[in-house]
Amino acid sequence: MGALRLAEYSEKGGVGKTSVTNGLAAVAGDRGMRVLVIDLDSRATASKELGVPIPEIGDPEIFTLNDLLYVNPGDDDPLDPTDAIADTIHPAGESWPSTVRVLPGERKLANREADSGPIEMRLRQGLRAVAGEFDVILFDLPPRPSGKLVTAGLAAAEGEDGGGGVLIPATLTTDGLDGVTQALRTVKQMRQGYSPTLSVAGIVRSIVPRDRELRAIHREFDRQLFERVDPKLGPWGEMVLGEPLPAVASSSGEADADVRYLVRQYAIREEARFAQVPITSAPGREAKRLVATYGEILDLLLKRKENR
Amino acid sequence: MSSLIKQGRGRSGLSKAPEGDPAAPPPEIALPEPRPGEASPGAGGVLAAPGEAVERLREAVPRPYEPVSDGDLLGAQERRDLTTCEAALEHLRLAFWVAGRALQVIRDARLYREAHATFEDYCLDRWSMSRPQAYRLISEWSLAERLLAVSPMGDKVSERHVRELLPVATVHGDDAAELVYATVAQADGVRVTAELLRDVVAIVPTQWDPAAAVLIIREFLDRDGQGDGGSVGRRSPFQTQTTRVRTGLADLATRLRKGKGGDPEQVRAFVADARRLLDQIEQSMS
Ligand SMILES: Nc1ncnc2c1ncn2[C@@H]1O[C@H](COP(=O)(O)OP(=O)(O)OP(=O)(O)O)[C@@H](O)[C@H]1O
Ligand SMILES: [Mg+2]
Repeated sequence: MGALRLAEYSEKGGVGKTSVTNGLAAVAGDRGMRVLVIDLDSRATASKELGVPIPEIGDPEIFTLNDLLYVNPGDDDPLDPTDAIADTIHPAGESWPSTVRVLPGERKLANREADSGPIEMRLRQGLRAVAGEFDVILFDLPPRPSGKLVTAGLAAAEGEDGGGGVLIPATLTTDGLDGVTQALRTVKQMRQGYSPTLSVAGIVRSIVPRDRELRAIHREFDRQLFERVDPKLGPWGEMVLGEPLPAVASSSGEADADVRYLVRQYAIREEARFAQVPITSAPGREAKRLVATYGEILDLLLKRKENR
Repeated sequence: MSSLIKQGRGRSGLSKAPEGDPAAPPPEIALPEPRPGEASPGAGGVLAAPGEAVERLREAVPRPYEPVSDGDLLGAQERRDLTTCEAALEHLRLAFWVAGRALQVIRDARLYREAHATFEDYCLDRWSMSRPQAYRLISEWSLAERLLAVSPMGDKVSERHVRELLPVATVHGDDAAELVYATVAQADGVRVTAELLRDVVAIVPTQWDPAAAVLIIREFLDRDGQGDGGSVGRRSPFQTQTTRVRTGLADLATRLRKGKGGDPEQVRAFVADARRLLDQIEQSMS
């Protein structure tokens, strides 16, 4: 059976796409599963958190997704992505489980959006050569309605044996819900062309604070989430996956270390990002709860794949 | 466990993409001048001279030439030429809404003010463009931009599509027009054409209710699809007219039911009249 392919996608920014991607990577890696994270965002947030020395912060010569997608307009015989892809896959940083690999993004990836050439299928094509080496392939997408990178990611996420899906993180806010509507629309459009069997793996409620004052409003958005119906894909309620991902507060009560000092405003989640460590190694009960929820989501998706 | 991709590393001949930073201006384009204050959101670069973008396209598009090969597949040069020519056409397709945005910037920020007293004077004098023309372009661009966004995978949105939807946008807002468009564009086996959009716009209820509108449009597309092998778009004038009448009546019925009707006398007179006309239609068949 092929790898479990999941694309974390919403048009809205900051809903937790990258956190879910790397959270699932951390949990799956901890279990010894072979994980590939593909970063389709030119800000390369996922790659940095995964500790890959992308060109702008480490190794200027490291090969990235940009090099895989780029085709020199003067080159009459473009390199086949199935040949090139192995050079673009790197181990995650040393704090990460040893079975996690990364196909990183970089800033210049933004140039690909304006490519006139047909590059949308290069990633999917490249993956044919290496997909067999992985149990889970995660695609971290940028918050965009469309474009070459989103298309390339969603086309590749379908996978050759079908069954690949889009995981939509939704904050319980207007923005989060709008993001779901738009993501579903994009899935439907992808099905009309590039990836006919692309599915909705699920909607996960993301960054949900336990704050008492905020509870009422979140309940209201939660209700809305469960009441909406997509005319083609069915009730949203049936797509909602697992428990809400709790928002984790800062672990640093006091600035007791340099890193803590720098990130004292940030949440545990953000500290993990800053320190390039997996969320699975963050201390505290809240972080454990978050990790457990990632684990449940992964279990649900793996079970569903098995039953297919 | 496998080696997780190490074999053959570095032998593929892959090289780093040689281009510059995505935010760096292309060499032909002048650096933006510092702007006064933060008034302009100006995201893009500055075109140094009018017509420059088009000039660059003209240089890139090759002179016409005879076929160079009989093969089924294009050669590398042919493929490049096709890409360039298509880029030029794409430019034309998109230029209309960029023009609208440009006009709006000039109007709203009063950039015409050095030499002209009013925006209308400016349009006429500088572009021989009437006020309605200019305002039409302005009202179209924002809608066009939204439609391009809901049509992400390359559905072609043309000026004609936008123009057909403009009445809905004017009466019910851009959200409504976007929903109408998306409903049509996402229906199975439907090719979006200006004609189809016009028919759909004609049946949009005058009382805007998104859910009802979507249902009515779907039903319309389904009903129409059955006749001739699922192809919507080629509709007889009879179909178009009956659809409009039917929706008009349905609309009226809804409003009356909600107690938003007119004078009962008038309503009764209308019903009698309509019955008589329907009888005539029926008789015409025998
Ligand atoms: N469970 C959580 N608890 C607290 N903070 C969180 C949680 N998940 C994500 N965040 C924080 O929310 C912010 C946005 O998250 P993230 O970068 O994952 O979103 P994104 O959807 O990938 O954003 P973008 O659209 O910019 O790519 C980050 O600062 C992240 O640390
Ligand atoms: Mg992200």
